[in-house]
Order: sequence, then C-alpha cells, then structure tokens
Amino acid sequence: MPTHRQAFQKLGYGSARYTWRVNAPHTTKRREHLLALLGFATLVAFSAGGRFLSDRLHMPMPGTVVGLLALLVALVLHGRVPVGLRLASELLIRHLNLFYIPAAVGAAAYVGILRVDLLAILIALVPGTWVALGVSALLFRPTPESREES
Amino acid sequence: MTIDSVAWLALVVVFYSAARWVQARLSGHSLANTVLMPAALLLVVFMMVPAARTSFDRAGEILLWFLGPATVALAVPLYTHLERVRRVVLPAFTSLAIGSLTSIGVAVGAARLCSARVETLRSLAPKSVTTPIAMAIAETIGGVPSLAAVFVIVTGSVGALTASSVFDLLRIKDPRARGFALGVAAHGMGTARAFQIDATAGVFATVGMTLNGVLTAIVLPWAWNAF
Repeated sequence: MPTHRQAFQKLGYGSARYTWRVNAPHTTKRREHLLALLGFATLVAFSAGGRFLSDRLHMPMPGTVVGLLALLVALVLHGRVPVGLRLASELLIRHLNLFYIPAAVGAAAYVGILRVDLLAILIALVPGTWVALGVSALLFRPTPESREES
Repeated sequence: MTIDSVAWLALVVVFYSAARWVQARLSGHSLANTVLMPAALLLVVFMMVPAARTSFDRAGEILLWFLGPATVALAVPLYTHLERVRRVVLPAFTSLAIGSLTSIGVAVGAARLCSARVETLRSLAPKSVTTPIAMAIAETIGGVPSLAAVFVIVTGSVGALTASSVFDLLRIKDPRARGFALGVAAHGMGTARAFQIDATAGVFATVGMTLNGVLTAIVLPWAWNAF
C-alpha cells in the first residue's frame, strides 16, 4: 500500500520538475494578470483625471480625450509602454464592441427620428463615407524619398 | 450592483460571445457586427418581457462606464505606431485635416439640405470618429450619444465594405494611403479591414483613426460654440 507521500508524488506534486515546468509559467501568468490590473487602474486614473480637468477648466473637448492626450504625453516622456498598460489596453480595445451594446439598444428608442430624417442619414452615411474615403486617400501622397524600405 | 444587473451582464457577454463566434465563422465579414447582433437579440428579449427594460438600463450603465478607460487606452497603439507615421507627417496631416472636415461637412450639409432635426444633425456630425469618442462628442454638442453610436457603426460598415472599390476606382495603390484613409473615414471597422489588406495599412489606419478622434474632439465642440 503506497504511503500518502508516494501517492502525492505520483500525482506530480512536490517534485522539483513539477515546480520548474508547471509552476513557473503559472507564476508569470499571475504576474501578468497583476500588471494588467495595474495598467487598467492607470487607464481609469487618466480617464477620471481627464474628466476632472475638462470639467474644472470648462474645456470644450470631452474629458476622456483629455485623458488620452495626457497618457500620450506621459508615454512620450516615459519613452516606452509598460507591460501592464499594454496588456490592459489591448484587452479593452479588442473587446471595445462589448461596451457599445447598451448604446445600440438605447438607439432603438429613436426609431421615430430615424424614420423622419432617413434621407439625410442615408446621404451622410453612404455617399458621405465614400467622399471622405476618397478625399483622405487622394491627399495622402508621400514624396518618393519617404518611401519605406519594407 | 444587484443580482439582476449581474444576470444582465452575463447575458450580454453570452450574446456578445455568440456574435463573435458567428463573425469568426464568416471570416470577419463587416456585416456580421458584434454590436448590432447582440443588441437585436436583446431587443427581442425586451419585446417578450417589457418589464425587464429598467433593470437592463442600470446594468448597461456599468458597461458604458468602461468606455472612459477604453478611450484613454487608444493612446497606447497611437504611441506605438506614431514613429512610422512621423516620416510622412505632411501628407498624413493634410489627409487627416481635410478628410476629417469632409466627413463632418458632408454629414452636416446633408442634414441641413434635407432640413433634418437638430438632434439628428448633432448626432451625425461625429460619424467618422471612433465610437467612444463620437459618443462623448455628441454629448458635448447636444446630440444623442446612442444615436451617434449607431451612425458610427453604419459608417464603419459602409467604409469597410466598399473601401476597396473606392480606392480601385481612384487608382490608389499605396497601402499607407489606403490604410490611413480607412482609419480617418471609417474608424475601428475600417482599421480591422485595413489589417486584412496588410500590416502596413493596419498601422496607418490605427494612427489615422486615433488622430481623427482627437482632432474632431478638439475642433467640433469648439466650432459648435463659435458658430
């Protein structure tokens, strides 16, 4: 009959190999989660700070954009993107669509407006987008010297 | 946060994941939108249980709160890719400034021409800007943020679906020009489309999208107050 300890080792616990092979990536993963949480806290702080500034100084632009610009300046001064901040922002941007779902649900209440102004909306959204695409692409004319070596 | 808020959030996440699955099945097609599909499903739920609406709106506010930090997060890809765009700063700036003004001008012009309501006009103006910034701008200038979100999503779909034809028609081949224009005119969905063209187009689209968001957020509320 195997002892308690033998059974424990048979399952793979307590051996040096287990610690090295499995535990190590596990700890880095946990560290990454912790850093991402810190990164998220940074984003929340910049967002709240931007809103505060925009309110207090009566800036016409939205507070979150003030926060975006402040973070951009902070990154330029810092010279690189901290790991946690990168992880948190990648996650938020990847799932940005999740956060608009309540807004799209709310828009259904304005079906009346949509019906009345349908023509204006269609003109702005369909040919309007083609014109904007064409204008910005035509104006983007890099000089031959600035061609990238790819 | 009450128990029904938690249940609503869980349901929204389930619908969102289902929509992502469908989108992956259609290999990222721009019509398979991961905002509009779950929203439509939720509206079906409300049609069956109208009383559920109030408790959903409370849960929705929790999700909308995330748009603040998510907008700030756009600074990270902008910072990462800015270096590559700096080499072509002059064409990029011209394209950005005129492209941005064109989007606003066409939207406001169309609304004026058809004598649309004020709310429509103010919600249409930021239509080419990435959704979280567009919603904030609409709120600042007295539009309806949720309407602005839908206009932005439709603009993005139109841009992503038709951009290749527009560029071919105008004989624009440079992936940097294609990407940048997609970012400026069709925000996040245009950027996703640009990454399908190639990585260079995607990088330029990311920068175009974010710079257009910042520029419009500065110019539009200011212009609204001035005129």
